[in-house]
Amino acid sequence: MKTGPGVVGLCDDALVEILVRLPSKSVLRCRAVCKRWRRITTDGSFLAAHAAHAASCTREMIILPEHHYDPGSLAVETIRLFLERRPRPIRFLCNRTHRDWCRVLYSLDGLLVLEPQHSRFIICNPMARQSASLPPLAPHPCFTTFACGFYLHGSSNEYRLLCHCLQGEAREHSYYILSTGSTLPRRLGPAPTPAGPPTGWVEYEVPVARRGILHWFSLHSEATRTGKMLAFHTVSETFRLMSRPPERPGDTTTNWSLFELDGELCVAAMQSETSLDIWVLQDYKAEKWMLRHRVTMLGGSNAVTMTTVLSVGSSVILIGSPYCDVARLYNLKDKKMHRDVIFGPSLPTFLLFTESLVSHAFFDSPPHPDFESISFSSRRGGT
Amino acid sequence: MATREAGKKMIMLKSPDGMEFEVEEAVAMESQTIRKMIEDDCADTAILIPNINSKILSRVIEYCNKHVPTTGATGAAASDTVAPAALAEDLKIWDAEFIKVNRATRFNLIQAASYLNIKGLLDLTSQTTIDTISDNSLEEIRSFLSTKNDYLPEEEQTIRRENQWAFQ
Repeated sequence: MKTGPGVVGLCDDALVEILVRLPSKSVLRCRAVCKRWRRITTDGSFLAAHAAHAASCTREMIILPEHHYDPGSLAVETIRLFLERRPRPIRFLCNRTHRDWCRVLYSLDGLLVLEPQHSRFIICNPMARQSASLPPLAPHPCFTTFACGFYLHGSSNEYRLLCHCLQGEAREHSYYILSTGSTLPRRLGPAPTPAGPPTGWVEYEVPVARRGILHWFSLHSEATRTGKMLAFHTVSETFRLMSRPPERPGDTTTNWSLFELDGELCVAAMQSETSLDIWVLQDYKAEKWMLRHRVTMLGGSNAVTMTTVLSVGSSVILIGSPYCDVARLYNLKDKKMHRDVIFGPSLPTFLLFTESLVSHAFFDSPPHPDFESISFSSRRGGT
Repeated sequence: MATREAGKKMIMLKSPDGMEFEVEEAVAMESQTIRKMIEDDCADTAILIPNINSKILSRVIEYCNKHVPTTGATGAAASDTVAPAALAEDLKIWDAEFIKVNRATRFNLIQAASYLNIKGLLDLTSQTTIDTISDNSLEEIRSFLSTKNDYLPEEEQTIRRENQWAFQ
C-alpha cells in the first residue's frame, strides 16, 4: 500500500491500542521505528497493559520435548490451547541448562522459575531474554531445599520463592523465602515435618493462586496428617489449613487436582478413566464446597490419563496428565468433549505461560558467581 | 437507523461538525466511554463527541447498531454467548464488509474506537495494521503509518543491538 496524500498518522492513544495488541517480538522491533514509538513501547504502564492484553487473549501451556523422542533437546516450548482445531502453534521460549535434571517449576507474569540443579533456582523472562539467579540456600544454611510456590509480594513488588528446607546437621524443617529484592535467603519459620518415616524428601504440588493466596490441595507437608488443604497468604506470609470437600462413603477418588475456573477455586476428583467430579469452593470464608459438575467422558479415540485439570477459558477445562502426551478439552457448560490435544513428541506441564515485556530491576543486578546462564537460542533454527 | 420504540430511551450524539444522531441508549452504551458518562449521570440527553466527524461517527453508530445484543438479551449477557452460531457467522461477514474502507477511514475508525472505547470495533479495525506491523520491515511500517525515522543511524543501530533477537 502506498501513502496517500493527506493520510495522517495515528494519535498516541490509538497507536497504543495497536501496539498493545502486538506480539512481544514485534513490540521490541517497533522501538526502532522512531523516537515516539520507542517512548510509547518502553513506558511502564504500556508494558503492563501489553502483558495484560496478552494474558487475556491467548492460552499457552509450557511443554517439554520427551527425551525418548528428542534426546538432545533442552527446549522449553509452549503450545497454544485453541478450542478449535488449528495447525499446531508451538513456539520456543528458552533452553534448560541440563537435559535430565533442570526442571521448569513455575510460570508467573511472563517469568519462569527453573531449577537447573537441585536446590538452585533461576528466574528468566524468555520474551525479554533476561535471566537472574535467586539467592542460594544449599549447602548453607540448608542441607536441601524444596520449592513450594512462587508469587508476587504485593507491597514490596518483589517476586518471591517459598521453600521448604532441611536445615543444618539436625535436618530441621524450615520455611525460607528467596526474594528477587535481596541477596540473602530469609527464614520464615519452622515447617511441619511430614507424617510417616523420615525420607529426606518433601513434595509440594504447583499451588493455585487466588486473590493473593496460594493453595496446595493434597501434596504438601501437612496433607497426610490433617487431611486438609494448605493456604499461604502472600501479603502476610502466613499459613493456614482449609477444609477439603466432604468425604463420602464409597468414594473411589484416585486423584485430586486443584484449579481456578472463572474466578472460583475448584477441585477435580478423578474416580476412573472416564469420570470425574468438580467441586467448587462456593463460600471461601466458610470453606464450603459444593459438587457442581459430574463429568463422564466417553467416545474419545485416544487414551487419556487423568491426573491434572486446567482451566482454558470460560467453562472449558483441559484434562490430562504431565506424563501423558494427549489431553482432552471439555466444555462444562455444554457438557461435551471439545477435542483432544496431542502434545507428542512433547509432554504437557500444565503451567500456563503469558508473555510480558515488563522490566524488572533484578535482571540488571550482577549475577551470582555460580550463576548458570540460560540460553535463548533455539537449536532447531528459527523461533 | 433505529426507530423509536415505546420504552426505549434515546440518546442524542453530536459530532463537532454539527450533525446530530439519535440512537437507542443500549446502542450508545456499546461505547464504554459513553456508558460511563450515562452511568455517572454526566450525560443528559445530548452528548458531544469531540474529534470524530459525522462521517466516521455515523459508521461507528452503524457498527454499534449491528453489534448491540439483540432484544430479549439482558444487559449482563455478552452478545457472543447469546448469539447462535449462524448469527455469529452473519456478524463475521458483516464485519468483513464493514472494514472494506480506505486507510485514512480505517485510521479514523481506530481513533474513534479508541476514544469511545468499543473493544469489538477496535479489534476489527486494528487487525490489518497489526498484521502490517508484524509482517513487514521497519521501512514499510514507517511508510504505512506515515511515520518518519528521526533516529541518527548510530542511535538506530544501538536500539537494534539492544533488541537483537527481535530482528533475526
